Amino acid sequence: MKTLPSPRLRVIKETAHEVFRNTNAVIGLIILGLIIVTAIFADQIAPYDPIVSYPEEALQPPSFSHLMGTDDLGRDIFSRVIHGTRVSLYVAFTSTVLAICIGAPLGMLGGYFGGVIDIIISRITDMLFAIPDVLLALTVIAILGAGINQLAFALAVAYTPIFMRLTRGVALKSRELPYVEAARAIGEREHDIILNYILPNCIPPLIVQATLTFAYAVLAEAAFSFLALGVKPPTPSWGRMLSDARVFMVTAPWSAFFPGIAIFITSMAFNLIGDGLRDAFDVRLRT
Amino acid sequence: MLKHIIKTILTGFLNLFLISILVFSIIHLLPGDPITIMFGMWEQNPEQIEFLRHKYGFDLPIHIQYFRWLMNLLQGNIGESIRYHEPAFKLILERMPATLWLVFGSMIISLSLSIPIGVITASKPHSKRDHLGMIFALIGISTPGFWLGLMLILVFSLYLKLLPSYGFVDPLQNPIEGIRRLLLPSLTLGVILAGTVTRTARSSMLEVLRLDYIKFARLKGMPERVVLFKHALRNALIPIITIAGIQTGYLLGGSVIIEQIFGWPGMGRLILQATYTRDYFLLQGSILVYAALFFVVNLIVDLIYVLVDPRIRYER
Repeated sequence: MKTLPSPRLRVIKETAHEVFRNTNAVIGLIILGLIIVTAIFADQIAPYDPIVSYPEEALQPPSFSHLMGTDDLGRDIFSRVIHGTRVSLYVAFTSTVLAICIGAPLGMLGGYFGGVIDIIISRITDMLFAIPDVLLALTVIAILGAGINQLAFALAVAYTPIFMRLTRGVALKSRELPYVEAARAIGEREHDIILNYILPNCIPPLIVQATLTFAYAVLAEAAFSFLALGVKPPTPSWGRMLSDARVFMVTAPWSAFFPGIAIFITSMAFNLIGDGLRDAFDVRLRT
Repeated sequence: MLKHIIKTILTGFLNLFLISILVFSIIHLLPGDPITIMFGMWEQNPEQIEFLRHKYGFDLPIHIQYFRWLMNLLQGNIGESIRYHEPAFKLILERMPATLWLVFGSMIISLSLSIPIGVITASKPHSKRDHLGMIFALIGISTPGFWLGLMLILVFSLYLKLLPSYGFVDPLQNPIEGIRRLLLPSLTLGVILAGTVTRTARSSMLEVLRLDYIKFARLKGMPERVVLFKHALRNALIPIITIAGIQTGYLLGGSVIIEQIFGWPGMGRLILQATYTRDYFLLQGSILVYAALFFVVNLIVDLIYVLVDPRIRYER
């Protein structure tokens, strides 16, 4: 007997089809692919060592030997920008995934069970939303100290309420769906219902929100590193490069220009993909 | 209406109370001893540290510590800065005008860019100008604000020497110099914020332009400009106000890095200094003040809704 193809697989296929029809999303995916390859093979791609300084080469304008010029210590900016992708992606990824791991289950529980649990969880979400995320992250860093993992954690705390609110809303709506009520009626266990029926409904909006949060986190990592609250030198980070470049920006504008472009492109890639995914899921939900 | 305001204020106080618990727990439950973190840089003598711990009440059980802080809060004392030796509230109040000016300036720039662009893009979806407008929004959303600020400083103050890049002058006392100093930081924040608002304006306009009364106005032969900016925009304003309100709330504390770059003596910079020096009491107090401001902004937004859309009444 021929088995029917899994409906979930069909959904994934349809969505992927929609995403690949969206020019913006495809551009975003290509850029992101290149950025990830750059991060993985940074050691092979970068023409110079990003950390060792060559004082005699200091502050050279862009040329064929130094595509983006050099900084005050004679380090090749191109090589440092390439290595900077690692820090940027690491912090963006860790903070977003952590925020989802904390926020999404709590939101789902609140939305699905309602009652006291929901009241407590929604109150916490509201409170966290009333504090600007930058301040929340600053507070956590003030306590934990500066550093790449501390920064990732601080951003995760700041982004958690976004995911709590998101999954709570979906769970609240899904709880009333006929097939969920049916499952409850035939006596399926609560945690099976949550995993099998509620969670799949949360995944599309979660993916969209996660992608957009990546984009924020890339900007936030750069900002916090700029403020010397993120990655410690000499590890190359785009934000840190910009704050170093401030001093000699007039004589060497390239040192402040290229790291910013790198931040912009990375954040833009995530935004393009996020928008594309949202449109793709929207189209699928409407039909 | 009055009932709604009173209700909002009451829930606001309840929320502030809950936030005070939250802030207190974040600071006290995360690992690290506040006294060593705060004074570790200067103070190594264990006896002295013990003395400080006692002085600031860190040797008391945690619920008593919270209770003491809460009692102080109720008397209007949100804590004292360890570094400045002054009440945190006074420090924050001193910094408030600079931040409020910055919020005002960036909102004006953001809205005067995003609303026209949003309306124009929505009037002809998928046209060339729509794409251009959306590219502008994407750039606004993806650009790191502090980098844009640096580039503007580089071009306008360092190369062209047109505008100052540093410091704040109260525009009420010295309008010309005040506005000159306000221009670059507001432009930086304005462009960044405009990205999100443009998208909201466009999608909100698209919703409204589908409605029957717009079709009717067009059929009646009304000039397109009047249809768009007078009839449609008015109904599309609510989501735009919502977003602008949220952004204002966040700007009050969130423009930390822009304030830092432009040497702007605002509240964001105060909290950044509190972070660098690990001034817990100042941090803990500032967050409460920000949360309170956030509620005030939300309340003002609620009131603006009523002004913009008379159908909204907060009764029931």
